[in-house]
Amino acid sequence: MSDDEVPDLEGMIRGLADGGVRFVVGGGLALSMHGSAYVTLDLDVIVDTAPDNLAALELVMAPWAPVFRNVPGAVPVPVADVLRSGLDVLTTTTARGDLDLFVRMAGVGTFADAAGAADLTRIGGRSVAFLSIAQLLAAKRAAGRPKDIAHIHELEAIRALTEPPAG
Amino acid sequence: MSTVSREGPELPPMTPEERAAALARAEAYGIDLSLLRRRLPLTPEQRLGEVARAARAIARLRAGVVR
Repeated sequence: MSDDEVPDLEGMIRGLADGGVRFVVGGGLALSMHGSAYVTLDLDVIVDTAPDNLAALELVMAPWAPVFRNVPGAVPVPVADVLRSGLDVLTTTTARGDLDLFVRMAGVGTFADAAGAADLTRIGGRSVAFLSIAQLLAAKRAAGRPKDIAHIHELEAIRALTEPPAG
Repeated sequence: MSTVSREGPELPPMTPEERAAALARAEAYGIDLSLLRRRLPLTPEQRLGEVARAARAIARLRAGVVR
C-alpha cells in the first residue's frame, strides 16, 4: 500500500470475521471503538494460534498479498509459519492496509487471555471482539510510550463520562 | 456505549472524586473533552466510519505532500 492509499480497516475486520478467523481487535481501532478521538491507520489483532485458525488466517490474507513491513524489498510473509515461530508480533503491510498480528500483547497476553474479557460489538452484521477499556489500560500501561500516556488519560476520561455512578 | 456488550470483568466503579480527577487530568493533558462528549453517543459502526473518513483525509494530505 502506498502512502496515498487509504487503509481499509473495516474491510480487513469483515474479511477476517467472514473467514472464520478467531481474533480480538486491539490498538488504536479498539480505542476508537470506545469513543477515543485517536485515528489509527493500521489494524492490530491478537490471533488464536491454533493450527485451524492460522490456516484460516493465511487463507483470508492470501489475496491481500502480505509482506514484511520492516524488511526492504516487499518480501512475502508466510503468515502461519512466522506466527508459529515464537515471536510476539508480526507486522505486515497488505493490499488492504497495515495489519499487525499479535501472538501475545504486553499487558493483555494471548488470544486465550484476551478473548474472555474482551467486549463484543456487531460490525456489518458480524460479532467482533475488541479489547475492553480495562484491557486497553493494561496494554497502554505496559507499553508506556508517550502516546500511551495520552491514551490512558483519554480512556480514564471516557470511563468518567460513561460509567454509571458508583454505589 | 449501549451497543457494546461487556463480557469481561469490569474495573471498580469510579467515585465522583475519581471521575472529577480523571476529567481534570485529561483536560490538563490536552484531551478535548467536548470532542469526546460528541463522539460517545455514536455507535461502533459510526465510530469506524469516522476513523475511515479521517484516514482518507490523512491519505489526501500525504498525497499532496508527496506530489
